[in-house]
Amino acid sequence: MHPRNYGPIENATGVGVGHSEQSGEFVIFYIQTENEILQNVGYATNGCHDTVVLGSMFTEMIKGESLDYAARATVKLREKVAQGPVKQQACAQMVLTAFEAAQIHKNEKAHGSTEELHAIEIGMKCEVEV
Amino acid sequence: MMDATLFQRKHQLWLRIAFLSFAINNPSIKNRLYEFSQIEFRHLKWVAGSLYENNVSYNYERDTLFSIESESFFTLVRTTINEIKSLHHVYDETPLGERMRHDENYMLSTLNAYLEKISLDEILSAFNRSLNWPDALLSVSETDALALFLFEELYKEYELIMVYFYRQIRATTPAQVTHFQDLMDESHFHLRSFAEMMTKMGILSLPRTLHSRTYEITDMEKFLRGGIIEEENAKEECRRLSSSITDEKLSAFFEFINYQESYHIEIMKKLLGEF
Repeated sequence: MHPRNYGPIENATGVGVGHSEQSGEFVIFYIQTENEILQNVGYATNGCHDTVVLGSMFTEMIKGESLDYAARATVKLREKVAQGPVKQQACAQMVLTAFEAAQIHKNEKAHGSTEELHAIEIGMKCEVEV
Repeated sequence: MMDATLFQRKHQLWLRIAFLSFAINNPSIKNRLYEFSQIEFRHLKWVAGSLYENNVSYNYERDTLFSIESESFFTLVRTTINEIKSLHHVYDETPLGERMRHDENYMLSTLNAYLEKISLDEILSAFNRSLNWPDALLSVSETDALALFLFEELYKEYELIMVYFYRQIRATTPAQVTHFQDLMDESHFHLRSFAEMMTKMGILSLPRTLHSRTYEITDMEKFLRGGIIEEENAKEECRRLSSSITDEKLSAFFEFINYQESYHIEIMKKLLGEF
């Protein structure tokens, strides 16, 4: 499996984490912006295959695009996965929350924060369906 | 010099040799290379131990261009030889540096001997993405389920090996060392089994890189309780595959793995008593 944009990026302007305390799963999202354009993005996860695929798809969708476009893409992806299984919704939630956290981190850094990243816990849990 | 860069390169060398052994079909070369990979894993453990004792931080990152894929066995052997040779320039004169150099000199002589036998230059089908299980006729849905399972579990076994590895270096009692070793040994076997199945299907690939959040576990009790639930899920996946795949041999293999997971849970429960 060769997911796109997997792994940390250099000179990230924002680093965010979406994680589930229940399952210990997380997505970490890296963004590098210039004039509100996402010049580079990356992500990593210890989650399932669906999370990896969704992360790969989403980063491909928004890379090189504006933050406004990314916000619209987020809504679209959320709508799309809402029609699918609950498990996939949790995976998408983790990816999108991590992206949101990365943007918050970017803004906090611009206001002087020295935190390494911003983390947001999600309520949903991605687990193997039985 | 013992530093984080050496750890990263030894980590990659372990993976390189292990995955070369998974990719090749010749049984005697496969076994010899797997033994070499296990020697490299022990080197890695000793390097990590030395770094930890000296308060030098290291991580599980890999070079972004690191790859183990090629159609040619000889190409991969040559890459391995070059990597080992370049590592010898950075080993220090400590007993560990000497040990690693001696072990790898023997590996180099074996690898060079392979290159002298042109008939050994096998065309590797491990990476050709044929997505076909050659040992039985599987339906499309069975094949898809098997491929997905193998991708997921290959990553999980690698993750488990490296989490246990991290904790074993930091173990504070002999019982912890033993239990983490048992768990690592089991996961090595599973990793090898799943990787060789992926080779048969032409879908062998490296597991994705581990982020430090995955293995820098501070709350071991929570981690072990989560691990027990994960083992239960893995058992369920094996049971589901075993019952949905109609091929008897494959089904029996997943039943076998399923029962192994049961004992992992027992080892984890013993470990819980240690934290």
